[in-house]
Amino acid sequence: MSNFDEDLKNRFEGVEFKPSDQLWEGIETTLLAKKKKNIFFYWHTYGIAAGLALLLTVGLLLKDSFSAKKVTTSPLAKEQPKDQNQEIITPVIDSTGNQKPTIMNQTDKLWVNLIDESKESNDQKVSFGHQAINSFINEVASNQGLKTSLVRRTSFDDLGLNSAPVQFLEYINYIPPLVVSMSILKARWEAKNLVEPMKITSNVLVADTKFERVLALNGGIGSGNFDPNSSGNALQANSQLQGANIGANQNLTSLISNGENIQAGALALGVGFDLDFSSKWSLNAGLRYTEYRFDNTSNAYSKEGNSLLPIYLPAGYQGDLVIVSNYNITNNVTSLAIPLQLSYQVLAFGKFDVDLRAGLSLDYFINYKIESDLPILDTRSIDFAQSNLFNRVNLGGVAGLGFNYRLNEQWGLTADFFARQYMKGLNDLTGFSSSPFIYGFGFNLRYFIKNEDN
Amino acid sequence: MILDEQLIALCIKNDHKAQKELYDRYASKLMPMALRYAKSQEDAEDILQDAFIKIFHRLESFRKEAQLLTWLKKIVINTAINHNRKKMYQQPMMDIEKIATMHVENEMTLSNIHFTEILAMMQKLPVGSRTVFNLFAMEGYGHKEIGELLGISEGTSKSQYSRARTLLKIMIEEANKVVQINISER
Repeated sequence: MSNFDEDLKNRFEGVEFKPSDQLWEGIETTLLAKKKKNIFFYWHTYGIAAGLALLLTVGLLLKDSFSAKKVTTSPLAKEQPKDQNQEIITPVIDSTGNQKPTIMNQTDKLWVNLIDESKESNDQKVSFGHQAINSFINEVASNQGLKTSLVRRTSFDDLGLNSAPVQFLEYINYIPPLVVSMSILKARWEAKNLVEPMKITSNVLVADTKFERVLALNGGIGSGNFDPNSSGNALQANSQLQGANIGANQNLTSLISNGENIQAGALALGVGFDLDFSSKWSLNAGLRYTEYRFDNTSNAYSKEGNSLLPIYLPAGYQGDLVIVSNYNITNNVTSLAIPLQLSYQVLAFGKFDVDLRAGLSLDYFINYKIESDLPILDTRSIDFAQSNLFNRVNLGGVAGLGFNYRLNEQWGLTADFFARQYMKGLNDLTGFSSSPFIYGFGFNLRYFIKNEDN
Repeated sequence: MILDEQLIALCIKNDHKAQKELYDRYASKLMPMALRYAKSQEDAEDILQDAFIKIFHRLESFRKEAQLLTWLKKIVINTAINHNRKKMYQQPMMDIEKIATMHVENEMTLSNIHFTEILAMMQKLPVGSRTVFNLFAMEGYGHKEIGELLGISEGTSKSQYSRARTLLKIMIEEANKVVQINISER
């Protein structure tokens, strides 16, 4: 710096100059106007935010209550002890010593999905794997004036099972409010076939299998994308039985079905840092632990070693299969995520402010567990190393509304509603295109990196 | 007298009296700075008004270990730059390669000139030169930094600074001549 500059600078050292009185008036007017605007904006925006939060809550509650109505669990199934799962129907020998013309013999076991008599609107679907039983049920239903309909008839070949004989599945739909009683059906069947009353010890029937089932994975979710939304997750799985005493035309088939996934939401906790670009814009990054939950139903469980485990088809199953009345399952998926978001402050009031935020989030899934409300079942834990269910690392978009409280200059707390949209993928096996969507609520501890320019 | 720290705490709570007190305490000290960047007193008061509104909104982020006056001055400078930047778009700065060099034989004498006259001279400078000169000579910013702040090249900053300096020297010499004539006439 030259002497000239230095001299000039010195001329201003300690100099004071009183501004006009109008200056303070102008500042005062602006401050008061902003205050009024802030108060208005405060109620206006918080009103909208509160409305959205209310809608979200009501939506979640309605969804939950809807799913609760849709899914019921057979009380019989709940009560049944583990060791009574095996036996089904006592075979009957008539007075002549000949086996009655039943569809079963000593080794055959009837395999049905029973109707829960206590529920009128539920369990209208009954799947029977045996052709003869199906015919009989149709006949009984017809005699009783019940409407039936065939909803599916297929070959197993198209599901990729090799060398399987052509078999078929039938659904019989009983239209509510009519309820079919298994005991009535059984009595009629006994009368028709001239057999003595048989004892049903359990409504859960297990079929013997003559070969070891392999892990019946039904494909990943959305080609590696985590997708709790797609109804395509609930595939029909088919288990083939080849009992030695079952004739070629009497092969038993099973039908496992999960309902449509119902999101229960997500809860997140995390830490992050914020870099303020201006008084309104900032960049947020950090680490978040997130737990997602989505609900579904299942009509089967599997015996894997000493454990009885719930079946959610995309996650697969092994071992013997047991068909029961529908029960509820809950899928819990936990992940560590690294979100990177840009946020815009829509209002500020003292230490509180509200922002809108959007960006990307990279998830690393830690574990995936499937729990059920059937007391006899254990929790199924998915081994990511063994499963191609979905990729452990997923990328998605994230957006939300953050309610922030500034503890001091460096630290703050945030509660936020967020929505996440994962990248679109196509499941090779099912052909379902999935673009999963998740919503939830989270808390974050924030550290503010000060931008000196501001 | 209430301490600055207590005053700040009250201002954060939107205490109207405290805001007025803070204004009274510092407005006169900040006004000369605003005047240097402005083209008139009204212009300077516009800058100071905007600066004080920012100050009251950002007081929460003021670090207590820092000097309050330094922090306030920084806000005034940033506000003045934003204020002048808008005008600079209408009056873009050019990189002047050859500035009419002026030989000032005599030692520049500033002591005879009142600071308000110097201010008036600075206000006569074109907005770009005035801003660059203030940032470089008065605030001590580097040309690279000024270039980034104003969105101009380092070379443009240097040439604008030289231009301002030359114009100021001409005006000061003219003023000195008048002073000399007045003295000799006495």
